[in-house]
Amino acid sequence: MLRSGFAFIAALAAAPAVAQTGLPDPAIIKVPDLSGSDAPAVVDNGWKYFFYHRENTTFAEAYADVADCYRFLAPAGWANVAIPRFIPWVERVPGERAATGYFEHSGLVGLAIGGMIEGTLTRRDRQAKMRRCMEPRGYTRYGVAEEVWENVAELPPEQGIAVQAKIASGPAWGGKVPVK
Amino acid sequence: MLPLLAALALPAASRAEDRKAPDELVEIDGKKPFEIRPDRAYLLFRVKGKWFAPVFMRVPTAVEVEAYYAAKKAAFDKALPDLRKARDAALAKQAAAKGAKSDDDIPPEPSLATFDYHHPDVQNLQSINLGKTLEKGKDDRLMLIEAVPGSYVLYGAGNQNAMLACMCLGSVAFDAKAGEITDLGAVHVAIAWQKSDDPVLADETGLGASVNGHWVMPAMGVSPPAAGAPAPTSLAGKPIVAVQYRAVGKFVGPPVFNVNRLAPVPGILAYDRGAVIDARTGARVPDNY
Repeated sequence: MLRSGFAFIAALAAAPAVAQTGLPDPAIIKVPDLSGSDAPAVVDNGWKYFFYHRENTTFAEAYADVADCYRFLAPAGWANVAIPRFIPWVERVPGERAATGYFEHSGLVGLAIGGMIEGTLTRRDRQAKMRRCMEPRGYTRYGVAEEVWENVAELPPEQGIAVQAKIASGPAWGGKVPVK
Repeated sequence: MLPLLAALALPAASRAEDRKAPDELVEIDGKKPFEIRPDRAYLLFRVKGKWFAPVFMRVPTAVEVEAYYAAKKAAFDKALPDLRKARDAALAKQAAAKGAKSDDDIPPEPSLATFDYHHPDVQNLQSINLGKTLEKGKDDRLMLIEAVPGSYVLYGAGNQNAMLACMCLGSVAFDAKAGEITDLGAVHVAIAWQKSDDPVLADETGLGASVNGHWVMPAMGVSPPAAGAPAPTSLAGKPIVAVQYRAVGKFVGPPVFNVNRLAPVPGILAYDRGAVIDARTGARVPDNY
C-alpha cells in the first residue's frame, strides 16, 4: 500500500529542511539490492514498478530533479479534485502549497473508499506523474521488483528522494521498461 | 476501464454548499442573441479534440488574496479544537495498537500551512462546459466565454466538476481585457497514451497506457490565431483581438490525478529538459511556487 496522504504531505512539508542544510551525503545513503532486476518478469512488469537512471549524471543533479518531481506527487482522490475552487497563486504561509487542497474534510474518505482499486489507481497516478516529470529530462525507466519499489515509495520523501537520486546517478541496472 | 469504474463509483464531490461564488466563466450559447458587456472580457477559442475541457485560472487580485488569507485564518482558528481532538484520538489509537501495523493516518500537528480551506467567495479556477458552444463542428467546438477581466493561466484539463490534470510542468498565460473578445486560437486536447494525429500533440502523445491512473492522462496544446484569420460570422463587427501568450513556469496546486506540460508553442513556450523556457528570449521561466 502506498504511503498515506497525511504522512506524505506532513513529511513533504519537512523536506525543504534537507535542501537548506545541503545535500545528503550519498556515501551514507543505502540503496536497495537491484540485482535480479534484469529478470524478464521484472522488466516486463516494469511499467508498474520502476526507478529512473540517466548516464553521466551527478548525485546533485539527480537529487534536484527527483526532489523537483516529488513536489507534484501529492495523492488525489475524487473527493478532492472538485472544481471550481479558489487558487491564491501566491504563498503566504511557508509549506502551504505542498499541502493545499489535501486536508479537506472528505479527502481522506475519498482516498480510502475503493480499497485495493483505489490504491492501485493512486500508485498509477504517482508513476504517471514521475514519467511526465522525469522523462523529458532524459531519464530512462528501469524495472524493479514490486517489493523493492514499494519499500522506497513508502519512505519519507526526503529519504525516498535521496535513494532514488543515488540510484538514478549510479550504475545502470536491469532492463529498460518497454513503452506501455 | 479502471478509471471509468472509479469515476462511477466515486463521483466528484459537487460541493454545492460551497458554491456561493459567482460563475466566472459563462459559456455563450450561439443560438441566443449576444451583446458584449463592458464589464466582462470574452475568450474565443476552438477546442480541437474530445475527452477534456480546458481549465482556466484567473490570477486573483491582491484584494482577493488578502480576503482569502483572512478567511482561511478565521476558519482555521474555528476548526483548531476539532483538529487537535482528531489528532489526539489517532495518536491514542496508535498507542493502543502497540506497534501493530496500521494504514490509519495520523493527522499532522494542526497548522495554517496544512489546513485545507475552500474559499466560498471567489472561485477563480474553473472549467468549461463544452456542451454550450458558439458553433459546433464535426471535429471541434467554437467556444465564446464571458469572463471576469484579468490575467489567465491555462491551468489544465478537466470536466465540469473535476480537475483531472494540471499543466503544472509548463503552460501559458494571457490577458483578457474588459469589452474585448480575446481570440485564443485553438486549444488542442487528446489522450496522451495513444499517438495523436494532431501535429500539435504528436510529440506529447503515444506515451503508453501506464500514464493513466484515476483518469486517462490528457495532452494539451495551443495554437495562436493565424494573422488575418476571418472572424466567425456570428461575431462580425465585434472587437476581436489576438491573444498574446506568454510562458508560465512550473506550479504546484491542489492535488490532481495527473500532471503534464503544455505542448511547446513555437516562439512562445519551449522546454530544456525540465525547465520552462520563454521562447521569445531564451530565458528560463521561474517556477511560480
